[in-house]
Amino acid sequence: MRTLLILALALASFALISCSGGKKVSRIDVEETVDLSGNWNDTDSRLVADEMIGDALSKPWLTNFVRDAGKDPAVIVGAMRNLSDEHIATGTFVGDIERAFVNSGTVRVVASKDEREGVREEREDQQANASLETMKEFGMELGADYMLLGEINKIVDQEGKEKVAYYQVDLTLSHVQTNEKVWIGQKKIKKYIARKNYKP
Amino acid sequence: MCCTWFRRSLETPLRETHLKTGGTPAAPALTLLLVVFALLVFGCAGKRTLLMEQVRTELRNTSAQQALAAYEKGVKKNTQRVDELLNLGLLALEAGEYDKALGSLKEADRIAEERLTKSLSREAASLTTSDRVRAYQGTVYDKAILHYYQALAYLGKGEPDAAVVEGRRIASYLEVNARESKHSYKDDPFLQWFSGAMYETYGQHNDAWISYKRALELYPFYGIEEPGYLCRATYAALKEVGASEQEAALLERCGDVDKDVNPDWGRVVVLCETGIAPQILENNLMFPIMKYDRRDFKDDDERSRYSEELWYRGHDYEYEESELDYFVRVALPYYPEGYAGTETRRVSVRGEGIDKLAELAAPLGSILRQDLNDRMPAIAARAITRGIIKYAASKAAEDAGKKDSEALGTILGLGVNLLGAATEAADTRSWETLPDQIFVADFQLPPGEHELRVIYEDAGGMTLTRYDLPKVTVRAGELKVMRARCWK
Repeated sequence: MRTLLILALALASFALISCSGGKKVSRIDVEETVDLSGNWNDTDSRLVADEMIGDALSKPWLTNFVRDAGKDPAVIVGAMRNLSDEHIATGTFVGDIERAFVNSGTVRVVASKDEREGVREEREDQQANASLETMKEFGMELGADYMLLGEINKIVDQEGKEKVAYYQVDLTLSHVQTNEKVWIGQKKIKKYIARKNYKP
Repeated sequence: MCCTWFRRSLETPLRETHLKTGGTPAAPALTLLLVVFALLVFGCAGKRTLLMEQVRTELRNTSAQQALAAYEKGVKKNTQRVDELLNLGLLALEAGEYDKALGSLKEADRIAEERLTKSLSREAASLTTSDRVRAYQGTVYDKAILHYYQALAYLGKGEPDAAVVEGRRIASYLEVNARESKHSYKDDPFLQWFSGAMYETYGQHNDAWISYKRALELYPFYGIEEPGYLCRATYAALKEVGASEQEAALLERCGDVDKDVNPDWGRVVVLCETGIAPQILENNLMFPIMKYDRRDFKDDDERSRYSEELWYRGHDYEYEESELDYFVRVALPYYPEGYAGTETRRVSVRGEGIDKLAELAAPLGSILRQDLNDRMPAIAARAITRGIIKYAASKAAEDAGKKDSEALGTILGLGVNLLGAATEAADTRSWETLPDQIFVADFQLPPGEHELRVIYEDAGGMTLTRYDLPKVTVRAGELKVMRARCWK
């Protein structure tokens, strides 16, 4: 009996190993939070961008600018330095920040350096190909009043199969003319990631 | 070859088995079926060895594309095996297919991480069959150097920022490993230095300085001479950081290194990889089990401890013939002695008015051997445990069968014995395409365009390979990283 049991165990093990299940794909809501690896993900990017820009827009620099200049400020979102040990899609984060600014309706956002190159190429093309009525002129671009720069840092504390990942995002808004820093924002995210020792 | 060990494995377990005819006709059929099934599942290790031999031949003929094509043909499409993904990744890197290289290496990294959670079913199966059914997650060293190759793939793709992330991952991984590893491979001076170089490309001089300092501390444990460029790199990073309080101590250790650093020049790093790391082979050993050895164990831990005792007692244990009960055959992995992973003895980087000697920075072949030595007691204990279980199973089958008839008992015992022998195999999986050694030339050049070539020479000073590097533009204060591999 014991032998048969061992044999059955061995065969069952083989069967388990060799018969892995197929792939299953299902659509989920983009707002839904799904943490798989514990790494920085789309939810972190969106939440940090929304919260930080919400904070930036509630600070005095905005009302001061509108009061002094009589118009909404134009902001350019510059480089986000990834200082973590993760491949973070900083482009997505920059996109989330720009979206939060634009949707606030109180700040105008200027295209980034790379985007501007593309727009300029299009404008150059228009000079040769577009009708006079629709052709856009050179030298009429909106100059940014402020530039937003940032860094993403990460500290990891790990022991065995348990890990705490601590992300810190620092954003600084500086006046393009004077270099004066008018707003400094910081957002922290702490994640506890535990891995099981065994699975069936 | 596969069948040679199979035949040999049958010799000893059958010592006490006397085959007789008769008995229930279904039993022999069942046992035969089980043996065939086991052979089908485990296949022949020789197939993999032949594939790697083909790949190595292609590589030595400097045709990385053909080697990659041969390997891709030899392994399953969308393979989930970590060793195969690692080999695919490195071969794709050699062939200049950076996206493919990153795809495979990232997947290997992901699966290896996932496999930190052990599968109970696989662990149980490994105790009744072979270590090969355990989910392979790569060695500790594989998981560290994996990031070095990912960094190189990103650099090849022209994405230096992503390469820096891999440099940071090396530092993070080694930091945890140094604290938690039970093996002698805990930290790595070459990878720490590389991580430092990556930090520098991103202007993170403080982190670079920390990594370089760590590399300086670690080289004595590597068993090779500390490369001269390390002092220079550490000193340059220290000056950037402004840690003047530590300058005197560094100068005392490194001599006139302050005179070697020219802040108006750029830095060039050439990674010169040579040869191919040794391949793990299988060794079959017979461990004598004495009549006075224990038979009953309270639990699995007790049995494992007993197996470890047997391992340390040795397979060449001297015993009285009358006290011998039986032999346990175990298949263990080993690196062949006398394997020369590379013919290269001297590597230099040359150009117009440039002749820089590359220094040995990482003896990979030795590291891999040491790693296997570290793991051997645990591997052997598992193998002996398995042997004991298989033997007990064959005896139990024989005894159970004998209750019906003598012949049935013999056949059942033989069947279980055959099954055990057929499934016993050493785990020879490894990252077989790694180089045997890495030499590094780390030097400064004046700003401007430079054409460099790497010369690999053997012990007699004969040129083995000349590798022309792509033209490099050096700028003051900037760091450029290049790589060349010689398979000989």
